[in-house]
Amino acid sequence: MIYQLDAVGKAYPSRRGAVTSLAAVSFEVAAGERVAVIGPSGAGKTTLFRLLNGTLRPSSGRLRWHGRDVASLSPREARAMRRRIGTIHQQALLVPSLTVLDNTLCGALGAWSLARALRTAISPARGDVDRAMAALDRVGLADKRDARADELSGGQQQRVAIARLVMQDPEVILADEPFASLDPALADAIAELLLGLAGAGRTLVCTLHDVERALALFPRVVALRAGRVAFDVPSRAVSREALDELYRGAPAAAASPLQAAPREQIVTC
Amino acid sequence: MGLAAVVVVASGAVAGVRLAPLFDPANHAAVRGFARGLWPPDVSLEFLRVVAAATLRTAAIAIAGTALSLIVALPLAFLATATLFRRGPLVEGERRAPSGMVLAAASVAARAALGFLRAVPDLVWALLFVAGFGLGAVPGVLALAVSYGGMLGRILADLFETVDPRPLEALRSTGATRAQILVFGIWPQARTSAIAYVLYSFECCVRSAMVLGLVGAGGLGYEISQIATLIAALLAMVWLTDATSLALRRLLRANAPPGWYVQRRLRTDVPAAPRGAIAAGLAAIVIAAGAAIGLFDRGVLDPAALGHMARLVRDLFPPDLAPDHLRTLIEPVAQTLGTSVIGTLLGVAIGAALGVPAAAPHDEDDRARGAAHLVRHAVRRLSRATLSLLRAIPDVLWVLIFLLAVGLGPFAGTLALGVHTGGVLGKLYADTLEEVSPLPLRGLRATGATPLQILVWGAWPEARRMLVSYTLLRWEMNLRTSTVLGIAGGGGLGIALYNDVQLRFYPQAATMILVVYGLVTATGWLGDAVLRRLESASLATARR
Amino acid sequence: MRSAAGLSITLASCIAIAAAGAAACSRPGSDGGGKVLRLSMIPTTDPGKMVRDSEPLVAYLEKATGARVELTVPLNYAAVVEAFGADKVDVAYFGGFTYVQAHKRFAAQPLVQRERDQAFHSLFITQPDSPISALADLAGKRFAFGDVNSTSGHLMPEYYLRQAHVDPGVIAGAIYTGGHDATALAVANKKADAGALDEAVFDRLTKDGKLDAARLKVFYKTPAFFDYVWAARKGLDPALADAFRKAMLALDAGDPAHKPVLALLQATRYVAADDASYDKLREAATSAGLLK
Repeated sequence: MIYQLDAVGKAYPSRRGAVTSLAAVSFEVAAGERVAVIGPSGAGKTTLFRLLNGTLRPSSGRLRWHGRDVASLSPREARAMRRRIGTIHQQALLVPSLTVLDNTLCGALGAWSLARALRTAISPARGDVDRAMAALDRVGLADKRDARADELSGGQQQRVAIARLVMQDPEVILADEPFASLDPALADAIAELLLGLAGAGRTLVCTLHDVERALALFPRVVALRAGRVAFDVPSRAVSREALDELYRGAPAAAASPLQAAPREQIVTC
Repeated sequence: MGLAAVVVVASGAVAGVRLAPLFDPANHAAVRGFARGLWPPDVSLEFLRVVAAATLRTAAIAIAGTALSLIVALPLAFLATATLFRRGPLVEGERRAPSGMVLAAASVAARAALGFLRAVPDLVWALLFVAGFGLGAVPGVLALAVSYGGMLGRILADLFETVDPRPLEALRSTGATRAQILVFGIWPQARTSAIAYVLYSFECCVRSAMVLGLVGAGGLGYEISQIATLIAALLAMVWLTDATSLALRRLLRANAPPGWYVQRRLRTDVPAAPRGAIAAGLAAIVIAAGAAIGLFDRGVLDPAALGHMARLVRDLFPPDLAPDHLRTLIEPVAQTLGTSVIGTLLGVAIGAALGVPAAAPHDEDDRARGAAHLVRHAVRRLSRATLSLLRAIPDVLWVLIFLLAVGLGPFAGTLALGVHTGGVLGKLYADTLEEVSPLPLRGLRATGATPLQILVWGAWPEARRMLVSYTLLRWEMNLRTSTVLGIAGGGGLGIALYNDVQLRFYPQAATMILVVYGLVTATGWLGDAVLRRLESASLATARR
Repeated sequence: MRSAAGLSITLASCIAIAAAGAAACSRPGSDGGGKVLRLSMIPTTDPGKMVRDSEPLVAYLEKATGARVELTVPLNYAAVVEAFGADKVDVAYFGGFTYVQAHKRFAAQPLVQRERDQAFHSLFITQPDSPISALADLAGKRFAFGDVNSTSGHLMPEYYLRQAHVDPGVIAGAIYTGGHDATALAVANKKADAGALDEAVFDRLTKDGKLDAARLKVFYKTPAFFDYVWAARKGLDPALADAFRKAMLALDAGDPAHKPVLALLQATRYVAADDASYDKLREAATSAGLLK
């Protein structure tokens, strides 16, 4: 098992007491699986996602990674875990003032020593540049290598993030609303890239607000509502009623792809 | 608010604020007489040769001092960056772990260490290194490195904390270490502001070395007409540093997206700089400068050096904490506090009045020619030039001028402090405003906001963290080094410390260092409180 | 109004600075059999200028002692004492008060001094129209000293003020201008009611026309006291110390080759110096609580 979640909860301290984001979530993800996580805004998708990639630790319950309790990992082990998990965020989250090539090279940081990173910051090694260029070629951005990240369009930035992921070469890919800021044609292209990567024996967990796309692309769907798992079924078994129930009362969640910055989400979701 | 008013009024009383002498024609005549004496400057070949040699030497000292101060500042700044070690999403997962707590404690200690580096007066640092390395440029450079390192480290940590944290989280999720996040996530975002400050710090080194080396100690060495020549040389160095700062920042932003104030001219004609070549060039310059002042001489690594330095440190202990001695410190502390408050407020007023017009606008349609554009351009240049002049005239000279204008006493020192502080803060304000991201500003402009509204609603929220930080650090500096007050007969901690050190009353000097450290820490707390207030206030506005 | 003169306080207050001012003057060409004599002087004027002006002295000493001479002048008195204590300086030129400090802390050995160093005076000055005409009139007035470490600008004037039982408030409330010329200016410009400064400096300022003598009046002159002296660090090779002493004592105003050296030192001839001569300064410093 890649992930085993056993009543995982996450609460954030705030001035008015703890704000619960995830109440108690349990499910498992096996190697090579492709899972979509859906649910209305505020269901806890992003928190779950940050728990899965090791950015946060659960405040209750137990999250196991390859059978080991994440809470018991030393910082070094936690870093090793993160290195094996590739993350695609809702917004590409590139370093704005770095070039496309530099941002792609960043994918390999987890495998590098500080000395190698410093050396790369000044003048990257030939082999690393070649690998990064191959990754950029795969997403069709080789010609943009010297452009600054903040010069690119949203779709291009998302493709650079994927190139960074290719550079990282993880065994698990976590994608948080990877299509949210893209128009449908671009979203299809990005989806193809992601699924192509996942095809090579990698595990893919993706949060999505677009239910249609989730059902079409992923064999398994985990639905969250109010910090709990509403259902966890193969996508062909998802019924209209179940979806209506899931999004009931949610203010047109599927139609509100407006992303607040993750910083605010910490408080609101 | 009420409390602030009380503080200002009390400070004004201590600072001896009296407006009448400012309007006394006799004093005007004295100042005019002094100014006339500055003209014509001494441009004899012999003296120019002296100035040229001193300028080169000053440049070498300042380059070596700045490079060493970076070596001191960078590791401490890295460790002191709260968003890497103490709070925020990067730390959240590890805060409870023992290693996380150790790192958090180390981070707090690093911040305290930076404060300590600043709290020990450069005079004491210099004596420590003189004991270790003998007389000459080396102890001077080391003293510069340590005390400017304390300031640089504090500012770098503040800059590192203000970058957008989201890309950092993305880097961390690839398994990057904190140091790697610094190199690839934080530094690229902070570098233009950081370079602006490092070069400002270099300018400070130039000023210290040049003013002290050229104007001299006893003072009989130079005629007043020579002073004008020296100020011209200093002004040239300040201007050159400013220009380098601007050019470097432009180079780093060579292909930034539209909106950055510099992109128009440079977008196409500056090639992406080869980083390796720049790094090698910089290293060569630093090594050459170090060699020129004897930093690598064999004698520098004398094993006895540590013993001599330890002896001096032992002489500082135990600090004199006798009640009688502590009582004698009350007056200087009050004087220093009062004058620093008024001097800094004056500096903020001057800095804001000149710094805002000195900041290049982010306008894209700035291309439009015409009278309005020309006027704006002229105002900007004029403001920058005025700020450079305020900084280039050494504060001792300001004291001399204000002594003539308002007479002996704390007020003359306060005015000198205020004018010099204004020159410094105006420059830092302008640089900070230029570094604000243009994108939100463009949105505001699209809504038809006036330039003032754009400043208040667009630039201020983004820039305030650093604006407050610079202001507080300058206030802290005025608390620490207001020796100018002593010159004007205004008392204060600076002169008390100088006298103690000259008389080798080291335990008393040590007490003073403790007091200054207390003041430095207190201003730090005050600064954090102000920032928290500002941030929660703006959150409240946003919610409404 | 010359120079940011006297305003040495800030200036001197950073040696960050020892740096810029302290140009070293040495000539690599001379053969000293490897022996090096490291000289330093307390800054009585701009250090860079002092080093430049001292070239004839360095050349003379190299020839007379056979050692390579390195002269360094830092920006403040304390730096000379510290470098001396750390064995970084072999022979230093001290003011009377700094010598007393260096002798107490680091056992400095006096070598030679100018004849005139044995009879220094301080002058007390005020404005010509001032009601002050004696030390006793100073009560309640604003008084100016020079640098805190100056013998004739602070230590001895304070001593004689105490001897005359002048109101202690005068000393407690006095300002330190940082230099003799700054004291003269402060009093001339009525920024202070009265002040004390070195007699020799006062004479030179008025003679050069840098100070209008009509704007000041002298109302008290102290008895004579000892001031400047060249001293060797403890543990310096006695042969080297002796060579230096002999070289200085041999300076002869009648010898044209020695003229420029004596001129730059403002001396006519040198005499041997003795620690006992400084007992009075020591007493003055100790009784005023200035020597710990």
